[in-house]
Amino acid sequence: MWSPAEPAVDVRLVPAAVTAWAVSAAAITWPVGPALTAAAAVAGLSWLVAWRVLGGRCRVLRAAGPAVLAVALVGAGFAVAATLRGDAVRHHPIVPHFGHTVAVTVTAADSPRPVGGGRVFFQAHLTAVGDQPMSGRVVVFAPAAGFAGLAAGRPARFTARIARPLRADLTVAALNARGRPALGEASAVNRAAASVRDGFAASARQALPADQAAILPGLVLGDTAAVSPATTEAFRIAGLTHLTAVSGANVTIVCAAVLLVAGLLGPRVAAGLAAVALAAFVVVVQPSPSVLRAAMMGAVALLAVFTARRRQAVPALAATVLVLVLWSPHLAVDVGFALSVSATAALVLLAPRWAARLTSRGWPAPLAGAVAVAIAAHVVTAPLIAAISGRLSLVSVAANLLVAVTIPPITVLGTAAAALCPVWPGAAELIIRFTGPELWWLLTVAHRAAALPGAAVAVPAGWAGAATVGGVALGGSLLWRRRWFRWSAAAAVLCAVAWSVSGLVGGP
Amino acid sequence: MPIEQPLAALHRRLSLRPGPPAPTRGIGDPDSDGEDSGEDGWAAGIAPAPERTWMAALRADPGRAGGIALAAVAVLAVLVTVFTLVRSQAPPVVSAALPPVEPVAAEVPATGPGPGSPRPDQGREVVVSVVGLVHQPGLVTLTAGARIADAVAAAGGTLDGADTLGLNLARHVADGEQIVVGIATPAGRAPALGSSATGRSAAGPAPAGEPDPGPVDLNAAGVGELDELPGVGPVTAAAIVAWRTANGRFTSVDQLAEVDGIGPVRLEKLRPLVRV
Repeated sequence: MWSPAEPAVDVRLVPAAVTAWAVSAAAITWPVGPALTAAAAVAGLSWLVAWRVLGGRCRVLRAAGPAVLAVALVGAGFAVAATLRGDAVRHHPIVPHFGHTVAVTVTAADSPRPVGGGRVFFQAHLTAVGDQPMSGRVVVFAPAAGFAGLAAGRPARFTARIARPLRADLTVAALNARGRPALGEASAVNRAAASVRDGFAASARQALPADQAAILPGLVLGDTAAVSPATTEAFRIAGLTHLTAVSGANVTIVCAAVLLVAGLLGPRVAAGLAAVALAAFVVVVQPSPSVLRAAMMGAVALLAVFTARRRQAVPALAATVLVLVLWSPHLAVDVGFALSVSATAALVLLAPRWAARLTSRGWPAPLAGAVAVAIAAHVVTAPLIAAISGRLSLVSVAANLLVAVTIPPITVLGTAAAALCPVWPGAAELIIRFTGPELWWLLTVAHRAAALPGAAVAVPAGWAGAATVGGVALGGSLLWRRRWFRWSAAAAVLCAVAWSVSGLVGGP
Repeated sequence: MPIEQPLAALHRRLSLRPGPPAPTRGIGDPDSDGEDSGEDGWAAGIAPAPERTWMAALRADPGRAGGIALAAVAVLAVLVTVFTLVRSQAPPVVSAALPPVEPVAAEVPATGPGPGSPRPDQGREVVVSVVGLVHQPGLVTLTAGARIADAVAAAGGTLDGADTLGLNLARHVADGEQIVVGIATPAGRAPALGSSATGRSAAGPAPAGEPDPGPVDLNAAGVGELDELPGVGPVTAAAIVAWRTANGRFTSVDQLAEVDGIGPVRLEKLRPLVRV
């Protein structure tokens, strides 16, 4: 896709976005906010002085002056913002309640996810502690019974032991719920969204076998409530978990469908309608970090359509990071957000180049594209996944390649069915039936890949794992040009395959 | 601009090209591309000749207008934060608009299994499931106080070869019970499908007739009384008394959760058996 003849890649927003993200993450994680602010201010001021004094003589200084100054300003601004938020969390009125068990009222921010042991976990916004009104983000651990009906936007009141936040991510407390909650009524919009989700899941159950019906809402709407723990684990080992989260592909399909249908009305009307559809989609699938990232990039792209500018992914991604970190600074330390942004950056920057290199060696273009996408996304996200889970999936690239063909039809048909569900369930069920073979293939690949011996290897979790895997990935990418490295890598892959096959064939 | 740098020239050509217009830069970015700001591309300034193709492929200089826009983003970040914090410290207005939420239910378990549902009183109906070797397996509705024999009779009576020895036909049925009528096994053979009567109340107190001592008063009971509660051993009983000594008295059953060794599950079991 990229070649020197192509127009310039627009990276003007990238330094500012990276600075804003890094500064926010550092100031939220460690108490270094004031120091960072001071450092950014000093750097900016000294640069300003150098620029003014020496600018006439030094061309680099004169040319890069405004760029560096702007980045320093952005760093200082976001450091101040993160410091203020962190300070507000430390002096939150809930702090005196730590260690006590009181009745709390919260509004759920997402659907509860099972964490094992009959307990669920969800994020929520605090409304009241006792009868004292309060606000702030909290995480809630709760018994699965009674909390199953909760969804984004629905208030609940329950007794909970209030504890310190588990990690520094701008949550004000961790709540350990006891007993059954009293659930309130969500707003009309959220109820409509929940009814769309439930209707789609019900249609899927009507039309498909149980295991396929459980996974389809996950692939289309990110609704993984019905997925069995065994399937979740298989997807994790096979490196396919990203499919069960709503991502750029879903957003693209929604926007593209509306743009196509409404194209007759003119590009601006179509872009406006697509924006409405995008907003509705975000409400239906609940705004998780990856959804926010994808939707924001979609919105920037629609803005480009609206203003008749050229669409470029890199500035859209950078603007998305800037706006989202500005709006919700806690995303700066959110793993889902980091995974989503880094995978997108890989798809935008690395994959086209690698695909071009493969095509120039005579690979067929579709295969080269699929291989490049699978490898680029895996190489970039593997260090983060290793840091979270302490595991490195070795079958991820192969599994993703095998299922790559089935994902677009599932997403397109599923999204169409989800849109049809409220008005014409019969047609929705008919459409859903056509996703059956693709879902069967996806589930078969996931379970087979996860069952392979050595499908995932254990690596140290946390920073050590990220550094190890990241170092290996970086070294591999750099050394790939050397012939001896390619030969030894091929030998290693052969050995791994042979070992795996020997495990499959079975011992004596 | 005395000498036009190659990068600036490229920008100029791009923006003058009749095809696609200049790239977007997203939100909060005014309509300026930097070429007209009088600044040379700094990338072009520092890039040595061999890397020209690589550097020319990047467009990195935001220009003066872009710099001002980024500064505006920084100021916006601070202002948004300040306003958010100021507003969250005022009593949240939204809470008034929230739908009313019932106070957390200390009385929920006392009402038994579901809304408006029954204490097994006289005159109430009970529904039990009778399956296995009966003429009409399925749900039967009986009056409270009926016995298993009544349930079996209501299901059409037993088929030939049914085992009634494993059933205590004289027992009172409880609502929601399942009665399995199995095969009579010849002596000496392992039972194939035995008869049984199981229900929710299997662990609960036996049918009517036993005097119910009533809930234990948490604030009055001694270690001995507490020890007799199901799931409470001498250690936990002592912990409850220690909590009472430390905190005065229990004002709500929920406070039992604060006692060491009483988790949510045990609390739910104890809730109907204690009072304050």
